[in-house]
Amino acid sequence: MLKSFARAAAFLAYLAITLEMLFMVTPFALYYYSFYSPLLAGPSSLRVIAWLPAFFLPHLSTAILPSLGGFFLLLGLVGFFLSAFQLYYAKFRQRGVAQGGFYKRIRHPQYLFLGLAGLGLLIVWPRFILLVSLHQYALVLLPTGSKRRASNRGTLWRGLPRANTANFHVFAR
Amino acid sequence: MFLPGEPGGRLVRRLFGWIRGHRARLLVLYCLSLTGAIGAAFVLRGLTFSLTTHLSLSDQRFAAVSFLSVNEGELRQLVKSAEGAEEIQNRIKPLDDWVLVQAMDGKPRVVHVMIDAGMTRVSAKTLPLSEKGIKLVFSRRMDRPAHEDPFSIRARWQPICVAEMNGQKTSRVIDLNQGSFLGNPVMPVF
Repeated sequence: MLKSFARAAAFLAYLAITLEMLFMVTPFALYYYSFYSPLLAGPSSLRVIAWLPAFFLPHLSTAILPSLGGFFLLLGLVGFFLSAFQLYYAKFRQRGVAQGGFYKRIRHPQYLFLGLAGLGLLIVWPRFILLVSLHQYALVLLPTGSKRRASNRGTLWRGLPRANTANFHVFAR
Repeated sequence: MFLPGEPGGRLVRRLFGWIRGHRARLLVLYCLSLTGAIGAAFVLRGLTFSLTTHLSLSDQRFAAVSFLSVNEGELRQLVKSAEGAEEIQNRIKPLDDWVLVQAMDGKPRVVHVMIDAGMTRVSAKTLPLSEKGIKLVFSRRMDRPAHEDPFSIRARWQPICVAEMNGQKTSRVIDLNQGSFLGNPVMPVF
């Protein structure tokens, strides 16, 4: 119970940090910042972690980097939804485990594209705190999800020759 | 990592295969990758900032960063002429602290800076600025004690006014309502 609560809280915190840039350009910015502002101001007051809310790439001085980030973000999101469509299409049509398209080469294309979108977001809004958050997300939360999904997929998925599909990072098995 | 054959996994097994427990290996990998990512980010920050035109006048406690294609000398001249204007002096003298000037071209850039500093999009867009021309955003230092390098990673700024330039002269100064910066306490400097 406590573990689930901690996991949900961590997920929400990471989500809040990750989506900061999207919230700030919407009419919800004030509501968002009312709870987000202390999260940025807190580390600023502690010398050791004052670098966390700072930026590590030019955000204003050039239009090239943010454009590149925007491209990766868009590509990642499009890939994510395409692979989700492929997966759920196979599921609803009862065609078994998705093995074609993206799934022919990559074991978890949704995670891969989500990671690509995260990289894009990081280039567009390059805060250290977002880097730490995405690192945590990519290395800890994704493999946990991957293992959970593997255990839910049954014997058919586990019996597939997985040597042909690349797992996209070393933490997942 | 993205290639078939799991080259990432192989590399890890080759480098860290000597660590016996799976959990211990993951912990080492986690710490190393986090340290590596943060270290690389610090290097990127230093590198990209060195490529951005900026100056720091410690005797006058003035710092400036340019998003225009100008060199340091031109930026110095621009800042000097704006700083000399009476309207600007009246606003920055009472602060008795470091002042940051961000030089940029066009209203959309200023709107961008204001949103980044915590102003809402609507408020930023309604600022009475001309669409084109060079603008200087003056910000005051918010972190205490503020005796460090103005471009230190710990420096915190908040915009106070925008000066519109006509050549080397200040044509208009627009004050910014400090109450409208309700959000982001750490705006990007460059």
